[in-house]
Amino acid sequence: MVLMSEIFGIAAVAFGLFFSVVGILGLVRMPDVYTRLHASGKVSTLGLFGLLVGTAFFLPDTALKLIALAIFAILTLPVSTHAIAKAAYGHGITPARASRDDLAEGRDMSPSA
Amino acid sequence: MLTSFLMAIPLAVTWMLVIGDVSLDSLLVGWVIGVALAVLLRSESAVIHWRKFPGQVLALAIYTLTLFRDIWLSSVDVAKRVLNPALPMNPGILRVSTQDKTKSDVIAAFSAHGITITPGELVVDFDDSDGMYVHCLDIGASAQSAPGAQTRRLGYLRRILGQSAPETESGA
Amino acid sequence: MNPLAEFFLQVTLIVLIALVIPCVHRMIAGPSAADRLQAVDTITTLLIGIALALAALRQEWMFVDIALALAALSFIGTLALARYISEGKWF
Repeated sequence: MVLMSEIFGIAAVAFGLFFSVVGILGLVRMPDVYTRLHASGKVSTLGLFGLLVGTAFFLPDTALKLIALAIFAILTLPVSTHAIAKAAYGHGITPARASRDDLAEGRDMSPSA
Repeated sequence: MLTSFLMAIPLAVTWMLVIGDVSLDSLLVGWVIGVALAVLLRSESAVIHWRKFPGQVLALAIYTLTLFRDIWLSSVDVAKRVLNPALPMNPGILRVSTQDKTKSDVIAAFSAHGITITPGELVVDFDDSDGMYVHCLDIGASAQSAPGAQTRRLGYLRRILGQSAPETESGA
Repeated sequence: MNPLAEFFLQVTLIVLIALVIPCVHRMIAGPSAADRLQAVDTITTLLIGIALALAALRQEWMFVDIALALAALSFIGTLALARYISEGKWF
């Protein structure tokens, strides 16, 4: 007999798995660092959340730790995304197919901030 | 000092969650460590006033819910673009003002965090005044929606940090 | 555990491990250091997911601790490496 919690767990893990696959697909398809960051940095966040919720259904004892991990992920994943983007721009990579670049006009490339 | 003691409570709860042991012992240990950290890393920008405190917690809850909505919308939006065979996008870097006259670092940091979570936008850099340089997947849509979204986000952040409203503050 | 759920979690684990391969390709081929850093960051996110799937499959809460430690370490590591790439010094 299939438990109700296992059904919810499978649904959540499938949800997370779908978004992880889409994120990596974006990583493969996108043309440059910045657009790839959009794909992996965001879609993987939701993928991770799906896996977290799924694991919480399969292992109810660790739900508190998983909540802590979710809070940590929501706080830190955008920060590392920004750090990579800033490193890429500081490294001199210009965005591909950009129709407008305010940063190149408004500021010289000295690493002050 | 009172603020530090209060700030240590969320830290203690976090400690309890990470340890995975819900008991008074672990809460107390976490609280002592948290007080030490809060005193060491004291910040002027987050001050707890007793009268405002429930409002601050409420604003934090609402802001967290909007963050989750944004994560959902952004993931679906980016996923649609990735799965579309034509890969529709119009990337570019846009300057968005934080609209914060006090130039607070905390507000700038949380604005950047919120923007990086919203659909197809990610903060690349800051400038010396109040500008954030945002890389957008669809620059046309973002140029229209970003300033309004930032105004709303700034309102939430001010209420969370317990700062006064922008009208009364602009002179300070 | 229900055999169906167990089978599903095994498939999940296999797919997640397979997803590491494109990231490794990006890490080796990526034209710039930032591409490689991003690939490493994505691999760590996937590893956190793999640890969680293992925890659910084996009914072993220890893997959740591993996922927590991995999340914390990857955050610090990504920040330090990003700073190193853009400014050429560690601190």
